[in-house]
Amino acid sequence: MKIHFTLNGHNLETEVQPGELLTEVLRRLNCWSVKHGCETGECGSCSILLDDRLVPSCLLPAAHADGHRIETVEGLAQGTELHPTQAAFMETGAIQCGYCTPGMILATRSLLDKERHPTLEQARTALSAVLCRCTGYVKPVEAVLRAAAKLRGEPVPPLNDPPGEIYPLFTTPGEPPIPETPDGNHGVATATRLAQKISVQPTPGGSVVGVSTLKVDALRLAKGHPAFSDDITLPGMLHGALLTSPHAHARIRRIDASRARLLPGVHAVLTYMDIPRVIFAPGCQSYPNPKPYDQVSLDSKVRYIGDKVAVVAAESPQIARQALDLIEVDYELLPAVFEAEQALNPGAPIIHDEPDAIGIKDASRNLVVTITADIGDIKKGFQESAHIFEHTYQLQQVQQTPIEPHVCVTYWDEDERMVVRTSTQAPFHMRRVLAPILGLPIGKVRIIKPRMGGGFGGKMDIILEDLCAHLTMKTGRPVRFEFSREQEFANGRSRHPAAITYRIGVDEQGSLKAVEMNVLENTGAYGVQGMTVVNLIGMRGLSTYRCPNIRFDSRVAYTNLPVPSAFRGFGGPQAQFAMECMMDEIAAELKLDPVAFRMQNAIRVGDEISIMALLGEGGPVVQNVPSSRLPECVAQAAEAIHWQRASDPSWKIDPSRPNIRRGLGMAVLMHGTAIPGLDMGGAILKMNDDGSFNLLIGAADLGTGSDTVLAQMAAEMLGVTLEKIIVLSSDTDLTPFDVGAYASSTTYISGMAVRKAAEQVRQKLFFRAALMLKTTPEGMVARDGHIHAPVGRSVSLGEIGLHSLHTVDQEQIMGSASHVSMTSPPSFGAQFAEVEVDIESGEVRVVHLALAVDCGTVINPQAAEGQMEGGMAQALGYAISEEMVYDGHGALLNPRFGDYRIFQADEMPKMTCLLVPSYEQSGPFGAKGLGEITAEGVAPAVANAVYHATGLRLRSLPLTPEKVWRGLK
Amino acid sequence: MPKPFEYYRPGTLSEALQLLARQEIHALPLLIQPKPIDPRRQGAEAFVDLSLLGLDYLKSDPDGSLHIGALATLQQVIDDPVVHNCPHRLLAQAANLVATPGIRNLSSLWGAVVARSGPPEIILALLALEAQVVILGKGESRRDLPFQEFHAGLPGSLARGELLYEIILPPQGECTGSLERIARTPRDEAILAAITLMQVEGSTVARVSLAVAGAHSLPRRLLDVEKILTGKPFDPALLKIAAEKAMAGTELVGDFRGSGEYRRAMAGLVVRRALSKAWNEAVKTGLGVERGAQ
Repeated sequence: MKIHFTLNGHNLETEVQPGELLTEVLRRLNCWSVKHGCETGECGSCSILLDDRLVPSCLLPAAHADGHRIETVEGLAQGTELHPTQAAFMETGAIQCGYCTPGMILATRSLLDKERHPTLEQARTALSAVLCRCTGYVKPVEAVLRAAAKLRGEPVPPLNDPPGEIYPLFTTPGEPPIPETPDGNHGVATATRLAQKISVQPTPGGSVVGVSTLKVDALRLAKGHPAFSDDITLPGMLHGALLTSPHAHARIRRIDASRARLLPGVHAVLTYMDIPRVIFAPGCQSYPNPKPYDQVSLDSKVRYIGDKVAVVAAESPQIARQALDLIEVDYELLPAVFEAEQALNPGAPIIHDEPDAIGIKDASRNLVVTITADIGDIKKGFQESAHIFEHTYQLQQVQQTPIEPHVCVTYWDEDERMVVRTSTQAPFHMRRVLAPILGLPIGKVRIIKPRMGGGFGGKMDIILEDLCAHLTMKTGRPVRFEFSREQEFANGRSRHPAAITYRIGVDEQGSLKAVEMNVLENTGAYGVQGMTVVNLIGMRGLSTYRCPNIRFDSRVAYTNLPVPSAFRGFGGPQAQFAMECMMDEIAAELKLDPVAFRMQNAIRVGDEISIMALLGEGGPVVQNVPSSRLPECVAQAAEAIHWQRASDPSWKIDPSRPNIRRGLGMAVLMHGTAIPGLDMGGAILKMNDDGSFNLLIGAADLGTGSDTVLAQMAAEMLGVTLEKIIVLSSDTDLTPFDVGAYASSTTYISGMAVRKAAEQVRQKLFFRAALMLKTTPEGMVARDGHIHAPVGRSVSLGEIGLHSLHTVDQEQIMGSASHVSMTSPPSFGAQFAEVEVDIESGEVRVVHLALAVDCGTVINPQAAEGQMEGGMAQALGYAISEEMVYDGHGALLNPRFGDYRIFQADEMPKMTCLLVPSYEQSGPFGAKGLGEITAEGVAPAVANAVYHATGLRLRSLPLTPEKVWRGLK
Repeated sequence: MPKPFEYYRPGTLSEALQLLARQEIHALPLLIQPKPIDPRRQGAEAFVDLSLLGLDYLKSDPDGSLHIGALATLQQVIDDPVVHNCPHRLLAQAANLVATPGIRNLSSLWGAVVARSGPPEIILALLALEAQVVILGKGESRRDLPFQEFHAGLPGSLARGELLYEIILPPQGECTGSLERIARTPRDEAILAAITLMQVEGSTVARVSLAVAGAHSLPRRLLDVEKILTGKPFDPALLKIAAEKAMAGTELVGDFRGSGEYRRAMAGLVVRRALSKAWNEAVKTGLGVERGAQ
């Protein structure tokens, strides 16, 4: 049917199909800012203004738009002049991956159209319409208040405040205190408040490194430009759809796709019978991919509910979905097993009985891998211990839930090379792993990673790309393939569930004498990254504290659950929860101060990290601690949370709320930077005629701001402003190799590559300037867009650009470099939490989180804060509410937002971020990693705070009301 | 699997009723629930968009009753001053809790009351406020029904070809109300929730209505608990008896948010808290006399 409506001020007439939703039609009309994040309105990424009201467009049939007025972010800016809301989001660093940004900007616009003096609570409420997995909502709230100030015509503070200054709030004078909670929550306080600005040690002489800048990609994201994988339409593009298994474990006896193939508009249906069987490990990791190789694109056996059965390519998503209904599958049901311990028992169903799987330790027992490590003499260590403690901790399966689901587009290019445009964290690894699956040489495959809408580790595997490419190979046409949110939950990735047992011996002086760690990890139906993660559980769980005698023993088991894989922290959150709760328990048992006990045993500068020599992913490499400001982190975060209250019993009780107990808890954090001897990144920097530079990097910015941080480093080296650096990243044809975005490595590894490349360019600039100034390059400096000779003369980079490219002794001034590090300098941190526990209902409300991190030199304080706030928000869900829950048949019970609860803007606690810089000699400008350590401390700190509040020690996550209630009963 | 659907937007009530009554096609009114369902997965062969019928009004009668068009959105319920008077404001409180702002702009009261699962607060409020519903059928014939009956009869409360026209909140006199809930996070779907309305005379509970969700297969009025309370002096002993009665009457239904055992125990807690809060409010506003209840 034809509909008429007004879109961003223009009257439109368009044809809509039965079953089309408004989101789909708006995207068809090039409103790329309207994003798909779910099908139930809860994520808010598809939000639009419909007759001035903010609504999620995915809930509306497209025909509903008839006669209405619709605004999207595309309509906000007047030419090059941004709407104040867009500018505020850019300036405050409220944009990370940018996928939810259009929804948030419209939510802000909707609020500010009605209220020019919004309170903090109104800002939080407005933003609660949109889920964000990156920011922790602190900076978006700042953006709302800043935008309001701009609209009122008030001056706003500069991007970089003097260190330590309190960031002013743009609230109306006399604003009443924030209501503590929505009605019915017993007055338990939660609130996002703005943190004190961090203190940053400026880089000597630095003008771009060490300061907050607008992100290099902020403009395209604030304006909703087509930046993401799915923001493209190609001629003849087909739409993919996936048929998934309704059974947890079954063999396909018969599959008949003939009816589906006959449906008009269907161009291909593929089952296991239609594509070559190539066994692989889908994890995008360094060569050679860690075993096991236990997966094929489509198999005759399914191993979890949601496993891949068949794929369709059709002319519309609707037809593709219809075709799925027409595929007939006859399953032979097999017994299934969901618990790791049971899966290892004799007689358990064998999940991988295929003969061509490679590298499974013992498929007949569902045993994927075992890893052990021994340091010192564990037996002797326990003999020397005055006290021995043993506890087991249970960690649940949680999901990354990037708001952008897995999505890719594949097509043959004009040279008949396979182009895969996809949301991946590791494009170069993907090219290497994907090519043989498709039967193509690596050089015949090109991976383009456009803007990513978040990943958090969940986009490190080949999940859709092989299927999509097979459909392109079959049809010869471009194919677009995207998961629904429900599929994202079942077919995406998650964090490994694990049971971790610690046995720890302590001497009379409170020093650790023996630490034994036993891990049983559940890797679901496939072993992807299972070995790496359990390895890192050991590494993270056995490196923070000094101990001469260590034993690590681990097993990884297959079950019939959806597949865990990489997730921010890569085993760190599991290990840190167990270790930091264990240390708290020991301190409590021995009546020691929990902070002092930890600090007595904590690893220090110069110490060898002995476990890394045994569990190092890149092979045995002796590592030590080159830099650490852990003591300062602990002190600063303790001060921020008012830790002295911990020793005041009267503080724990609120006389006005007798059901509430208050508590404080903490955790010490340590997380290595990059994988030593393995992680490598490259950079190319080349000069243009006007003195600008193209920075070509393989690094994959997944929303962290790494493109910006790397550009800052190049700008700093070359003495130019950030605007002079034009970043192109993550295209396997156009940029140099990089392992990708994982292991907190990009700033450290890729940054050093950029620095090296920039140093080459700088030297060439000096030589060229010397030629132009008829002098020598000695003593020259790059500053303010010029090369300055010591004698006081200078030449601009624009002049050098023209001179070098066109005038004399022509050359392309460029540099290229790569970097690999044999060291993995750990970052350190301290996470503190304040909680309130309702001792009658068991509800836990986190009131305040304070995180201090030593990540070396901070390249971009605002981006660093964003990492910390977002990391804490994710970890808060891990602690309190997130869990993939299954019925007895392995069906996921909560495959939607809401039921799978990630925190929304109006329920966040106060968060304080403190950066405690050190100078790491091996890192670019002294930097170390930051991304993962931020997500590892909240769960143990909260659990320890619950213990402090109530005396209840919970050893499993999440801390649900029922679990707490049962414990207190 | 999702199916394509047709779309209609009738301009008159009779046209709408005819479309909904069609036998040859499964036509559903276009409704957004607070916990929305993908439009393609509702089993509709056609959606009937009723937005031109003017059913999004809120108006109060001189007698204090409130008439709300079935398609008034949850955000309208929150924003409209006519709902701000106690105890009707319980409905606004409930509307605020059940969905995010964007969904509240789409979800109608009708969408909220036909939901068989999801956040229960709207249903609790309507049960406690003893709402009436007005249903229109063939030839615009009208039938009125207590909301409690409508709710208990779902999903068959509306016959094919009928539409929900209006919800009426009767006048409540001077009384207090409260809403209590237990949830994983402050705005998560409630594991349990209770809403109560209390009329107090001196130190006695003159009238009370109490609705609880999460402790039975569906939200419901606890009439037996109300009976225990009515006409009695409100004190800790009475409160204890009421809470125990609430617990005793629960059905062992559980899900991933909370087991049946937990829900049973918490039924007593939310009832105790809701009643205490309503009583304390009465004391605070001078409607009741303090007798030391907690």
